[in-house]
Amino acid sequence: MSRLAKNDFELFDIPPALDIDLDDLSRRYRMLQQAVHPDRFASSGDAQRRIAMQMSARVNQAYQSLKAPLTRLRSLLEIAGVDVSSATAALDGEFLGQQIELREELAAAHDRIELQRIRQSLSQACAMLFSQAADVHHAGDLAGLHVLYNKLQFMYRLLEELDRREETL
Amino acid sequence: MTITLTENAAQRVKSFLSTRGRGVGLRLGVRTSGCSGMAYVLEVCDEIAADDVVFEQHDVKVITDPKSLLYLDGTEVDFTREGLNEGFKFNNPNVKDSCGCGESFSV
Amino acid sequence: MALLQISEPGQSRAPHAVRRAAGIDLGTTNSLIAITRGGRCETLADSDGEHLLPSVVRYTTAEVQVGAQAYAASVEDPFNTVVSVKRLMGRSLEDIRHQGNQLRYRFSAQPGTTPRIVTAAGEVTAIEVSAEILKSLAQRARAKLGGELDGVVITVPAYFDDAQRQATKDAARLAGLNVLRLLNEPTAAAVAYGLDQREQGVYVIYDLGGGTFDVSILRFSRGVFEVLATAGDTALGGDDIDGLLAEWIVANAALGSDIDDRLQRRLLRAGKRVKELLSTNNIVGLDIARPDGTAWQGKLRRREFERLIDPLIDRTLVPCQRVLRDAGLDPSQIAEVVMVGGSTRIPRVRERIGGFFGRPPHVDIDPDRVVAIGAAIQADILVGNKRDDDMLLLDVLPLSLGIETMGGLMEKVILRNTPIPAARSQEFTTFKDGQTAMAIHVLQGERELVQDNRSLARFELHGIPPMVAGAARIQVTFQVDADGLLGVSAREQTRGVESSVIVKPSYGLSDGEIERMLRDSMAHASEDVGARKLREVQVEAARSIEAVTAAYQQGGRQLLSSQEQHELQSALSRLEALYNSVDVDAITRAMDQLERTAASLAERRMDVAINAALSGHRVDEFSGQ
Repeated sequence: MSRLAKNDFELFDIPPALDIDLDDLSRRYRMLQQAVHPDRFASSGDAQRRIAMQMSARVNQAYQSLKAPLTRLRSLLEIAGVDVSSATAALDGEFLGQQIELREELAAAHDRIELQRIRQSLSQACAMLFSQAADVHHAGDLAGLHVLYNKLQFMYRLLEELDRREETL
Repeated sequence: MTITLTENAAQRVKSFLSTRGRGVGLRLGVRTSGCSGMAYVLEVCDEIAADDVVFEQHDVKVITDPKSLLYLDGTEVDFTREGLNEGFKFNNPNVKDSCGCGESFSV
Repeated sequence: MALLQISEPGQSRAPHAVRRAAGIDLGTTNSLIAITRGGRCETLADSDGEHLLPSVVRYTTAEVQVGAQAYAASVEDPFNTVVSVKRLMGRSLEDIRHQGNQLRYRFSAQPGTTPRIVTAAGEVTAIEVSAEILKSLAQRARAKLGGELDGVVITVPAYFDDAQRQATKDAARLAGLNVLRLLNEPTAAAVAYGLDQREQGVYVIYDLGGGTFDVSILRFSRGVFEVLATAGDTALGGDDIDGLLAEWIVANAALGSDIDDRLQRRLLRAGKRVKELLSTNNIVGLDIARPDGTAWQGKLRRREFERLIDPLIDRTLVPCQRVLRDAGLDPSQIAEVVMVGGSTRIPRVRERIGGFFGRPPHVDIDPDRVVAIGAAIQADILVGNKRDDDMLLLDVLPLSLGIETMGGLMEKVILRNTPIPAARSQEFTTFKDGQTAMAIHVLQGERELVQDNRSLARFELHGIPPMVAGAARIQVTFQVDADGLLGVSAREQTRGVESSVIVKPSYGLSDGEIERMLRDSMAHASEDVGARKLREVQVEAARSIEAVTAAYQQGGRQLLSSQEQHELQSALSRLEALYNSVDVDAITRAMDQLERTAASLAERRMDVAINAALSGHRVDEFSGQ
């Protein structure tokens, strides 16, 4: 099978899981780029250079996606055939309540110290959701995994908002 | 003084000559050029010149000129496969330094 | 060593000759060219022994002067003498005005077109001015290496956007140079620096030059330089410090508001001199002749100078903060901070940056030459002189790329600091029933509103099958190459209508214009355009034959069916038979045919390379399939 058609995990030749060794991933990334980067084919023909560029872009994309936990989770769902853009079962009221609280807190925060505190609690919440997701993935509960993915998307949106606030301070 | 051909290399030369349909042997030589000073010549030989030196191994004639022999004495020529590449390899005891690409050398 | 094949009598292939390559640092204030010879890198001097070429071009009715001669005339002849042209590259008139009015050229005013500077020799664009500097540098390398250059690597600020990169590449084309790569300046510095050190770790390159500022974070490991994040300001540098000092003189010498252009250039030059002296002295005396004939004497202390420039240094700290955050690192994880660019000679800059990163920065390397040296090392590899070298540079996109969506908003398609080459596709749809065409507006920048980002290009996709609003699926693909240059294509998914564009900056030159300029310059050089074209095509064909032959020898027999081998061989011999002919079209056709035939071999070789890489082997150890 051509490597262009493989999924991210297959391309890097690692087992599909949420917990991965990031040092090993970056080592594999460098080895793959050593093999496919267009600079390796600078004196080759056009065809070879074009394919090298495509391959190198593909390796870059897979690396970006595997490196960050949220996109890694999305890759796992996609491999399992879940349409991640589709809606999941409604998120529980407790979670949504927590989201509203966090949003209000963020809107009210006016200095770096407060923002830093919110960042910490957000990071903790994300870490917890990811560890749940790892368990749920082990258990093979795809619907559960999809719900956790959606919750994490909410969390990441808050983090982005936080970045924006910090930059405008 | 001698130049040797491994059995693998001899086989390859024989099949090359038979596909080509003519040729008396394999001509080896050196000439100046390249990044490290000298480069190998590896050609099929149609005609043996008067001052040429001829060696014969595994039923294959190896022909060289006396000047080249100075630089090639003791060389073993092998045919190998490295990864996807295959070709002839010169194991030359006279080589002091070769360029990064290995296509030329100095003695 | 290389594996040899048996040749026909007298046909032994000459081993590759050393190819001529050079690295060029095309700077705001000064430019440099470096070459590698016998494994050693050196910058090249002019006949007076000067390595730095002032990036100044003077246009007179009689000639074009470049470098020191032009610099010497820049006060007397400000309108015809172009300085700091790098700040104008890929920029519109509005952008240039926005940068402040330190440079007072006469522009022929046509809003929305490429700015043209009016000189005694006619109107010139920034691209043409840069081409003159490149030509002058290339001449040094040609003289030293004894012939035409096979290729050059030109450095650009890491934070240069697509328009600025494209303008630089166009300038090289105009100068008749084959660009192997546009290399980011901090990355080039890291290459030159890394060769001395060879220590694994994460490095910060702080590059404050004459007119641009970059900060990059790189991880160096086993020959691979991986840029983790980059940020900067392409209109911030030593020039701005000169400008501040000029303003200071105006205020203190009570020169009033009526500063003519000669006085302005004189003040900028005085400011530059004061700046340089204050790097080693604590106090500098000034003597300024006023236009009315009176004189003003004053002095400036280092402490006061530092108060003046602190706000500028503060502006460099914002990008420093951002790269750390984008790379997900804190200062304690940085192995070393390397200072590059002439402006990092200022003690206050070193002090403040050292304070920010919590360690004294590394200042041992020559900040002026390191970028050109790094470019020369990379050029030597890319031109094919060092085939077995393991060094690899992995760079990133400095600014996000996106397209305009409804409501004047920018939708990002590729985010900043994405490793390049990169490709991303995104689907868009129609918003009216029966809509058959769609305009695509390509943008670069980080802001939400379209007008706050740089407009790169607009193109249209026609022939969308009429459907109800929202039913069409239009996939837009952005592809960024290793130079950081963007290509965009769009395809309607249900019917497969394709539209592709080469992104041409809104403020650059069209291919036609470049072609015309080349033609004009050759008319002067009395060289035949047709002959040049033929020579180019022949060289390209020879390169193609060599490349495909090499690829075939490295696995053609194992990877291709006998039918495919036969097709490849016949495409090869067709081009071999043609490439010394004078028929440009026939050569081009045969070349295209060969490239097409070679594509499947290229693809399979790539698969083999990947498998070998991950199983921990090098390709040349890999045996069989």
